Amino acid sequence: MTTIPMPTKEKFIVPIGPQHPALKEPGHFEFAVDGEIVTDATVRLGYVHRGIEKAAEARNWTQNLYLVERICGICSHIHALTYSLGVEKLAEVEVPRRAQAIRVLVAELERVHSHLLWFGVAAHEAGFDTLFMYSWRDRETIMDILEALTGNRVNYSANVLGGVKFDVSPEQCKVILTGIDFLEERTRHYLNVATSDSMFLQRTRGIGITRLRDAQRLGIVGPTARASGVIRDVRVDAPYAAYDEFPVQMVVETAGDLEARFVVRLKELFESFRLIREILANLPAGDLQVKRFPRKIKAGEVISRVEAPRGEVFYYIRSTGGEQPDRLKVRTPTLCNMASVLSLSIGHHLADVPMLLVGIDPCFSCNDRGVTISGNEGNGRWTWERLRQFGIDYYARKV
Amino acid sequence: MTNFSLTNEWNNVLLKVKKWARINSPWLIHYNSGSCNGCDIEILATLTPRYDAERFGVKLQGSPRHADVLICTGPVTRQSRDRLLRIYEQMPDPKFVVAVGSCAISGGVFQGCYNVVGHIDEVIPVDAYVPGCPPRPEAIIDGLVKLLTAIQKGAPVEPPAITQLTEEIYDAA
Amino acid sequence: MLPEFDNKSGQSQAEQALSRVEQLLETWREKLNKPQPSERTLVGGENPLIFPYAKRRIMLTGNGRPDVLDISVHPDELLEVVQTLLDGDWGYLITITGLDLGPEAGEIEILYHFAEGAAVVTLSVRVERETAVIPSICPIIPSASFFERELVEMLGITILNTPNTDHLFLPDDWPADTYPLRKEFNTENQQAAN
Repeated sequence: MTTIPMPTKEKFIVPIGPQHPALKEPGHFEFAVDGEIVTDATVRLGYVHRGIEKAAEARNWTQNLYLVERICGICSHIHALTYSLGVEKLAEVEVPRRAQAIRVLVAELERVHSHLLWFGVAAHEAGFDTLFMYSWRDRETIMDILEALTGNRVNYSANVLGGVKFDVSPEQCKVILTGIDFLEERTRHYLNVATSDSMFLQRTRGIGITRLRDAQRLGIVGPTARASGVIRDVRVDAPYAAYDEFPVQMVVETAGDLEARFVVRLKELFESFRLIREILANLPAGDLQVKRFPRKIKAGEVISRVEAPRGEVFYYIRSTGGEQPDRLKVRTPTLCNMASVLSLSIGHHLADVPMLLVGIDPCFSCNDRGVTISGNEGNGRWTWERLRQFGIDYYARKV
Repeated sequence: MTNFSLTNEWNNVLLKVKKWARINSPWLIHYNSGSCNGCDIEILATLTPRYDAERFGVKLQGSPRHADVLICTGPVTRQSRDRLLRIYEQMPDPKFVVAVGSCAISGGVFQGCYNVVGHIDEVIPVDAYVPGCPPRPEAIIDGLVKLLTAIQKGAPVEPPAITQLTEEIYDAA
Repeated sequence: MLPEFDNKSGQSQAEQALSRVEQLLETWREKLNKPQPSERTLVGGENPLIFPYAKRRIMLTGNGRPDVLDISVHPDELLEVVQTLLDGDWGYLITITGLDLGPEAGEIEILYHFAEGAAVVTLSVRVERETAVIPSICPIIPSASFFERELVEMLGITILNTPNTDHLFLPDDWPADTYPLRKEFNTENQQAAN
């Protein structure tokens, strides 16, 4: 048997996605590996790029509310909220306080649903399917609440331009509070699991450490950044809707590893529970909607920033005085965090990559508003014999 | 191996056994070809304890080669069109497709977007449609059960005709 | 140790951030887009020196005052301004928005949004529509790469020295010289071409 010389420039590339059991959404990654260690990473997005920014220019202000809600099914309320806040600012419409409080209520309920969903998926990536099933079972509580409140489990369509669609009745209050009590107890249990289960900690503690300096350099946002000690939360920095009446305490960790990201998100749940209780107890009186909302919006430009479960959502809306926006720019948190995964994964084991990826809570439909195997990276087809011999040689050299 | 054909009687028995097995354990593969995630989280919710689709033998599979049913969500974007076709072609026969959600059925709100090619059945044949934006997990289960009932009631699905190529493989063996 | 933060002080922090950036960008002071002062500014004991104007070109949602500043920058000065912000340790780059002002105006505007707390600073760069060329800010802010790739494929802007100009969102077989966010791009025509 002839030995095959160690390839000098050839890289072995492991493509992940777009259809992959670990990723429920399509995104394509290519990881160049040296044995088990990732040496290079690239991403190709665009599998779910539909052209929403352009489509928005052809629809009127109200239709766009339903379009932006479908940018992302997980944080649909956040997108509709960011859009409504911006358009209301442009139209110079003052939204009733009660409506703003209900918006915040739904936003926080959605944060609970999103973080629990993420927690389950992250546990699934770690190979801890039991935890995945438990957290998704508990998540159904919040889905029931959202359904009771809004009429739908996903895409609640709670916002209209100038207010909200529904009120919160005392019976609904009771249902929400019971659900929240149950979830708070469960979250305490999950926090305990995430910080004490030794098997789980092996997958999270010390993995994917992002230092404060790097987090700032890479422009990471949201809970991922707060796990690295970045003190940044739009709800606190620039309160919108009713967050000035119901202030939030920011949750910040400094370790910067995957464990810190779990802890930040789980602790944020407690903050959300507290906020939901506070809003329900002190719901301001008033109307749900403004009487009249103009069909044509005054010419102007507006920036709208909102803290989604994954980080800061940024909208830039420009009106030229017509029935349609002239430009709608959406910047979602995943795009900012995606770059961090790529640079983080270098030097880690390939097996840790799904965990790193899920650590930022990626949302590809937000992101794309694509990856093909290029084949010109010098990764020619290897026969089994060649691959086997390469492995033998590689480890012989290592020892 | 020259004499591969079975007698008619035995062939029928074999088909019945296959159908029985197929209906009792449909393995799914899920592909998001441009969806907003709403349907995807509901599909995932269908498999979790509250709805527990696994009691129908349903299992979510990672590889298209192991799957019987392709669950599609979302409109088909230009870039994911080829992937969708590839996944469909990689699935072994007989294969079934369920289109979940308004976008998968008609394009939904994304009709007319420049990067959207169209809905699922413009790209691959679809056997069952589950409407909703997004459909509730109950609706997805209902869609699956309807598909399985249709398979049960329908004629036994014939295996694909043995092509020249497969015959050569058998001959070589 | 984490620095202290306080919910109540958000507004005053934004004021400080904004006055700090005004100092940083002293050189470009005459370029500040200063719209007309409005009576809304001087409600409730504000510091008139820091906020001499309220109704700016770009508005900002949120419950505080409009803590936003926008500056027109010449493409040649862009790197210098960005470097000044970075050296002054001011804020972070939120995103870059490309804006086609239409065939009549004949210009494309590129907006660089920076934020610190509630304060947002927008640098606006205008270039010719036909020969849209801007320098890359990636050497200063590496994370801008994704945003610049988006500008290249969506608006057909040439960005000098940007590390990667591959398609990010659009498919690889996307026709060349077709930029979806330009105003002449027509969805119906594009659908027919599919």
